[in-house]
Amino acid sequence: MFEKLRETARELLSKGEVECVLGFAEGTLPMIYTPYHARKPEEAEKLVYGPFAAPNIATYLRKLKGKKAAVIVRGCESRTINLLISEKQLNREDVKIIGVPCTGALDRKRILKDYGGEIREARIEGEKVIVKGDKGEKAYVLEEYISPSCKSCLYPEAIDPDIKIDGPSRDGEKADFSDIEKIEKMSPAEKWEFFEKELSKCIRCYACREICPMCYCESCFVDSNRPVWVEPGFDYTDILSFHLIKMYHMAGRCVDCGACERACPLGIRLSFLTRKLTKDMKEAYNFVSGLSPEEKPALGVFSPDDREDFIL
Amino acid sequence: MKKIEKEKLLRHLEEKGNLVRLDRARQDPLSVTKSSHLPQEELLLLFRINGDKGVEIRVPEGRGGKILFGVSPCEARAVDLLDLTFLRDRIDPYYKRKREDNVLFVLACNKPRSTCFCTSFGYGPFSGKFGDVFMVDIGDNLLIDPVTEKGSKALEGLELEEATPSDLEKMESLKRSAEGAITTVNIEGISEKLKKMFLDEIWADLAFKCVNCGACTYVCPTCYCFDIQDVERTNWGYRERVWDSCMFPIYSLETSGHNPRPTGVERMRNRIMHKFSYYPELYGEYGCVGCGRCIRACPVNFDIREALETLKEVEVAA
Amino acid sequence: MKDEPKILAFLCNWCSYAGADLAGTSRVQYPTNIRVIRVPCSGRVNPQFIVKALHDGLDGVWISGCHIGDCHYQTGNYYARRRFYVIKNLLEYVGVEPERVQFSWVSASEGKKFAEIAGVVTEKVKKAGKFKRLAKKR
Ligand code: SF4
Ligand code: SF4
Ligand code: SF4
Ligand code: SF4
Ligand code: SF4
Ligand code: FES
Repeated sequence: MFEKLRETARELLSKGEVECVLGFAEGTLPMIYTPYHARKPEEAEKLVYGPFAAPNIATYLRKLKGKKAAVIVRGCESRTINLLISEKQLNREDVKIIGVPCTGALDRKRILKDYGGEIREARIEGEKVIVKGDKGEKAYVLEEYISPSCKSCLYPEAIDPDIKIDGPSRDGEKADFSDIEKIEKMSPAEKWEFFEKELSKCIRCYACREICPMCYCESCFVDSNRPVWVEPGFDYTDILSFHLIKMYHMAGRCVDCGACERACPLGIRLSFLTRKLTKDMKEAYNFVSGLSPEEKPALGVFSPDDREDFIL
Repeated sequence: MKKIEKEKLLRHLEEKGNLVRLDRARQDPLSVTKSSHLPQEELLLLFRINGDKGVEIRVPEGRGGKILFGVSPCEARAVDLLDLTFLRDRIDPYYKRKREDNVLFVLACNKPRSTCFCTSFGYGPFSGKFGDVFMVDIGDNLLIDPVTEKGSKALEGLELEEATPSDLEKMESLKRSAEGAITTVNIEGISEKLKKMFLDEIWADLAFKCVNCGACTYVCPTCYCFDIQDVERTNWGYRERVWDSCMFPIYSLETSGHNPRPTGVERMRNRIMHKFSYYPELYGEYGCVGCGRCIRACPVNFDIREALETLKEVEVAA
Repeated sequence: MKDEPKILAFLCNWCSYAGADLAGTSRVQYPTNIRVIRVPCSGRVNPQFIVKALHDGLDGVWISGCHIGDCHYQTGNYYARRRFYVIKNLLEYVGVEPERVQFSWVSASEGKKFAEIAGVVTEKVKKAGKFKRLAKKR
């Protein structure tokens, strides 16, 4: 199934066009691929793509600064690359973009939970994930266990790739934000309760920040102690302050890849926040992050007739 | 070994005090056993400026331990390792208090997880020497054996039956199948080897996939790094201890701006070195208990077992 | 006074702060709930300030700058407008009452308008009441 990709990678490496091909390889646990950069032509054999790839691979481009690399991307990851170029974190000439089809990333934790036992093996068969473990073999419909962010993905296919690997992808037209709309309609007290329940699990490990390709700041507001933006501890007011400010920093920069949510060890649904941002930026400014490397982030530009209805 | 009905024991313990039941699901992702001794956030002292009287300082007292029921052997062993840091050379009064008050009821793991590799460290899912009371779930009953004085005291007033040979046989067979389900990593000689590997190139390779998110260290039952912070209000404030992680850049950042562990490579190296080289050197024990939590929590599938295998393969000059 | 809501106002030096000044010198009364911080431009107000203010116990935040097109630095308030929209939406989305965070444009010559808007902001925040939720207890 990965022949076309591997062949492409092998060729790029053996011709010396790139120093490495960045993507994913099989992991040691079921349903999770692990980031991998193939550096020799024979290592191309290990490359894979698909729903088991949880992080946003563009995060790893930081580690390859100054190297010529090919990077295997889905839609969201290619938009991240555009943003990184526009924010001067990356030179377009340094990366060769290989676009792969995407049917969405798997919400692995939900399968683990629903299975209820120890899963020892998993594979994808058509539209299903087949898992095997101490509760026997079970099949899960992929579409039902796809990350929420992927369900509202507007651009599942890589934008302007140098090389494109064909295959079936999601339909960006079918992006669904209905659960966000439901929250928007709640009363302030209900909203508060809803988010308190979800976010107060947070242990402030900041895995969501480290995994995010757009959180590349040398020093983050949350680590600052002069001034103290967010105090230490696990009071919900501090947890919420962290998430609010982080989300604000992501406005027009978050590609809604869902990597932060999948990384959270507590399984917090961060997509309730990232998808709200995505929705707001689209509705208010008709802005979708990372559609082109020339485009500036939404908060780095303005239009004279931006909406004013919230101003007294 | 003795035996008792599970419900009967639980009723007894409920009357005794603050019972916290841990089933396997509740032990993941965070180690409740660790946080019961070293909480994520802990108030160390309160201070207040009181007019001309100067600064008043108050240290919170608070005693009253928990009965932790169903602790896995690896977690109980991890607490023994925490003792080395908090009770051996210097005594941490906050930790000590909890350690003295908490009672650990350890339950043998009948069904190890695919990520467990405890058998690599000279013990296993049925090791009965950790915590205060050791228990085995043999279906209808619990086999039970006090490990410490504290454990015996917690069982006082209970009528315990003697375990029958067939009970013990049941236990043996559970033990065999549990141990058989675990993959052991052979780590013999690793600590000696690591000493010579500080500057090896392998670290860069190993650390590539790691984003230094710290999830592994937060879920690890033996990781104890903390930060102490003062929170100030107008005329009062408090000092607290919160978990920290060697995976974070700011952890080793010095006031001068110099960072001795500038990149993720050095930080990953520290995590492994600490557990597999510094700990053995200081205390004669590994700083990892093979619980596999870090493997389950890692968002990018950094598998410490795989890392150990890789490190073993590396050839180092003598 | 204890039950009176406290409102933090960030006023741009060139317009709204001057407007407040004019209100003062013309002896136009405005509610005492407002505590003013002068900023060089509405574009100086990092939305983090708003979150921090609510977290530290303020009941409302009001930000006021020059009218669109009149910013002393030409474009400061254009950028600010987008930022404020985003943070206001986020705050409302997690359950902060919409009344608590307000924005306006008031020029240096609008002393009366300043007092009026101060009144409106105060009324709105009063309606939402004291804000305990995001304020850290300890
Ligand atoms: S990864 Fe999850 S637990 Fe960690 S800081 Fe982010 S939301 Fe909180
Ligand atoms: S949360 Fe904000 S300050 Fe922190 S790394 Fe992300 S973008 Fe930077
Ligand atoms: S904040 Fe947005 S871009 Fe960053 S990891 Fe989360 S979904 Fe992806
Ligand atoms: S959890 Fe994984 S990615 Fe995060 S710091 Fe640990 S090894 Fe690195
Ligand atoms: S390093 Fe991993 S396996 Fe070892 S004790 Fe910590 S969490 Fe468990
Ligand atoms: S100077 Fe007043 S808004 Fe910029």
